[in-house]
Amino acid sequence: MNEQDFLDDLTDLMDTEDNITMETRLSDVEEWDSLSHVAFMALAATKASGKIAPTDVKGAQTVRDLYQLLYGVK
Amino acid sequence: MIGLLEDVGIEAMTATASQNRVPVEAVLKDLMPLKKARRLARGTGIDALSLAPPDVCTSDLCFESASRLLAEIDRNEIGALVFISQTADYLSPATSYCLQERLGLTHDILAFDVNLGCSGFCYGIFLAGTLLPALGGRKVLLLCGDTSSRNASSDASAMRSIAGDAGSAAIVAPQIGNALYYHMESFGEMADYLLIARGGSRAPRIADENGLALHEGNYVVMDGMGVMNFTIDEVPRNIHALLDFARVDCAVLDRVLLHQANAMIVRTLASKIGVAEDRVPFMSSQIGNTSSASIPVCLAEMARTGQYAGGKFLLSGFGVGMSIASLLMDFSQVRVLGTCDL
Repeated sequence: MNEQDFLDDLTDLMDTEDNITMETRLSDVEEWDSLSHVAFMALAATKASGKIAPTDVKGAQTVRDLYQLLYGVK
Repeated sequence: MIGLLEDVGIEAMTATASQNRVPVEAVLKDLMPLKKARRLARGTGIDALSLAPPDVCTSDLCFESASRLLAEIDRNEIGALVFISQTADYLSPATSYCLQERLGLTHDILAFDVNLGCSGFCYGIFLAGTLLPALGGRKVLLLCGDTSSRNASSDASAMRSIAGDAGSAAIVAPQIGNALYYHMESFGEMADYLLIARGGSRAPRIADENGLALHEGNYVVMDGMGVMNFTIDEVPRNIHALLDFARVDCAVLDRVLLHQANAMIVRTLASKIGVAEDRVPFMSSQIGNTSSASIPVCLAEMARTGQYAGGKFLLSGFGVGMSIASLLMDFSQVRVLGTCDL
C-alpha cells in the first residue's frame, strides 16, 4: 500500500480538509478525535496486517505511526 | 452455544418508530459545532433519530406493532408473551403483564420479560423457538424494543448521535421442516463496555431538585473503542462458526441482517464476514440505533420501501452484555409488514 493511497484513505476517514502528510502530528488535526479513532479501528479491521489494540491507536503521534500500525512497516 | 431448533418459523413481524424524527444536527447543536455534527452523521450513516415523546414508552411502540399483527389472527392462539427490553415500563411488575392486559390475551399464557439489548431480537426468536414444544401448538408473541435515547445522557455526544426509539412484534409459530440454526456467546468480562451503573440494586440513581441528575452513572457509559474492537474481533468469527455448523456457504445467503448499530460497523462487518454490501442492508439512517428493535426495523423498512423479498437470511445481534446472538433461517414464509409511526 503506497503512502499516497494511505494519505487519501486517512483524509477520507477523518473527513478533513487539512493537507496531511506522513509527518503530520495527529494532535494538530482537529478531526483526529474519538470518531476517527473508531473509524481507524474499522479501517484496520479490513486492511491491517496484524491485530491493532485501541491503546496503539490512541498512542499514535503522527500519521506515519498510523501507517506503521496498519502495514507493519518500520 | 451453537445448535439447531427444528420446525420453527416466524409467521409475521413488524416494527413501530416515533413520528418524531429529529435531525442529528439538531440533537447535537448544544454539544458541538455544526461542522462536527455533520461529520459525525456522515461517519455513522445516521441523519435523523426516531425520538418518542416523554409519555410514550417502549411498550407503547411494541403495542402498536402487536396490534397490527393480532388483527389478523385469533388472539387465543398466543400461548406466550415475551417482552425483551432494557426500558421496561416499571421496575416491577414485568412489562409483559401490562401488555397481556392491554392486548386482551387470555390468562392461560406464559408472560415474562428479558433484559437484553442489541442481541435481544435474535435471542427472542431462539427463546420463542424453545418454548413452542411446550405450548401445545399455540404461538409466541415476541415484543422487542427500546427507547434507547432515554439512556443517553444529554452531554454524551457519541450515544446521542445514534440512539433512537422503536418497538417491534413478531409471531413465532411451529413451521414443519423449517430449521433455526443459532449461535449465542456471552462475554461478561466486557460488561462495563456499555453500562448504566445506577438505578439497579447496586447503586441508586442520583436525583436533584430538577429530577434525574446529570450524573454519568444515571446513563449509559459506552467504551466506543472497546465496543468496536469487540465487534470486529468476535462477530465475524461467531457467524463463520454458525455457517460451518450449518454447512452453509455465505455465497448462498440472500441477506445478512446485522444489528443496525451504525453504518460504519455494518459495512466493516460485511467486509470481514465476506458478503457484498448490497446483501447487508443498513436501513436506519432516519431512525437510529434502536437496540433490540433494530433488526425488525431493518426488515420493516425494507418492506415499507418495497425492498423486502424472503430468502435464506443470516441475522446477528451483538452488543450490550457483551452478547452475540446469530441465527440462520429461511425467511421465505415470513410476512413482514412495513414500519408504522406512533
